Amino acid sequence: MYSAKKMPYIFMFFVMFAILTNNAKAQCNSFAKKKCLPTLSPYTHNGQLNSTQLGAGETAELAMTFYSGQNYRLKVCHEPGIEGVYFKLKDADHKELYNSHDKDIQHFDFNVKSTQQMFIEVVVPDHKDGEHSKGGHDITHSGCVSVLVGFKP
Amino acid sequence: MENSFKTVSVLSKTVLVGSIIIFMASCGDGGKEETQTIDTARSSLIKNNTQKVFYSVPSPLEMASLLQKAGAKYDRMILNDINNTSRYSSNAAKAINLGIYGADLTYTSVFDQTQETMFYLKAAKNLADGLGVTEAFKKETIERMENNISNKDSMMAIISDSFTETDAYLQENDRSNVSALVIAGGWIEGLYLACKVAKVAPKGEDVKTRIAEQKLSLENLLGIMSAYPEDPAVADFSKDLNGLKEVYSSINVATGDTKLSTDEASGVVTIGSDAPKATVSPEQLELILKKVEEIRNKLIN
Repeated sequence: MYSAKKMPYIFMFFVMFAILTNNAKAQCNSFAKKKCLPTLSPYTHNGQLNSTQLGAGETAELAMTFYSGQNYRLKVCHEPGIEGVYFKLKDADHKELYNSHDKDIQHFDFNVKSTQQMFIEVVVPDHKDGEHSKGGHDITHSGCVSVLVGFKP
Repeated sequence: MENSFKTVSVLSKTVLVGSIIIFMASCGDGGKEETQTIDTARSSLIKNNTQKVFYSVPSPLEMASLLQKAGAKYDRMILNDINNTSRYSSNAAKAINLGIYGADLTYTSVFDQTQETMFYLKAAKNLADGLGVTEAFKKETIERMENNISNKDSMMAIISDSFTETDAYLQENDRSNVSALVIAGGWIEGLYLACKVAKVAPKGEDVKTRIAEQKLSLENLLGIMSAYPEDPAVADFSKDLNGLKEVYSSINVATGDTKLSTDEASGVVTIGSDAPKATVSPEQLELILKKVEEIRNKLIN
């Protein structure tokens, strides 16, 4: 009878978890569209939202082909509360070409002389407990991260 | 006995409330009949660590832009007939052909074909609405397009917004697999248009280079599709794309040594490589076109 009493709460937990997961995805996309997408201008977005929740110590990677003769803008956005997010640009062999760590850049504009496959790895560093962000927010250790790419002929 | 009755009553109420909540949470997610919805983002976990991986392919906008820069000419006869929309009853067919019409819409817009742009806009809207993606081509968006029909840059931005809305809506409603079909449809149509253009312009080496380079994007597209192995439409399309991958196996897209240089004035970085341009022989082009046409005909008919 004791476990039967707990069952409704366990059931409700899973129901709420399913709803919250869906909402988190929607909120992440909403964040990407409202806060990140406008900063791509005057580059045209490629129409694919690459947004996800990342926690401290987690990474995400975007695999993409970049074409010669095109100009690209790479924008990595994150919600306040997760700090120090940076990215690495790697070639087809995963050799690091560029690292934005400790560089205060708003976006990364580039072009390629030869069409090639590249990888963009986004890193959320680990943070210590009780640490505050530069903006004074509590560091939440997880939040929405979005990687957007725009092109311009 | 009284406690058991109360427990049953609490359970019943909980199940009822939970069912209502689940029902409400899934409202608006119409049309799940044939394309299974799989509760996953368009990312996959790499074994042994927590890395999430996204794959991206050139959007129809970028493909059309590349084609135009490569000297391609407009030919409306190669586009998917707008009257075919009535054929697409399943969600999978609607999704794939939304991608295809999206590519055609972009093609007509990039080549300043205003009347045909409106026709393909209507076709794309028809299928988007059928999938429940009403935000992508809502009334305000159509009006924006009509008001900016002659402004290529504005049209590119508005069409881009529509693609983004489509992707966002489908992801948020646990239909990332459907989004994958839209993307795949757009990509195959872009490649088909490039192949048809290259055939009538035998000296169009730049177009052929773009076709050869799609070998790289094809791998990324297969990466996107690999996240949804249980979806029969995605699995079927992936099988066809793997057939195309075999055709591409004879084409070499060299990589070379990569070096960065930065323009101090603009801050723009150039990633240089000594790799030669990818090429495709007439025979290889013929094989690619044959396979792409086979896949595309299966999708639009």
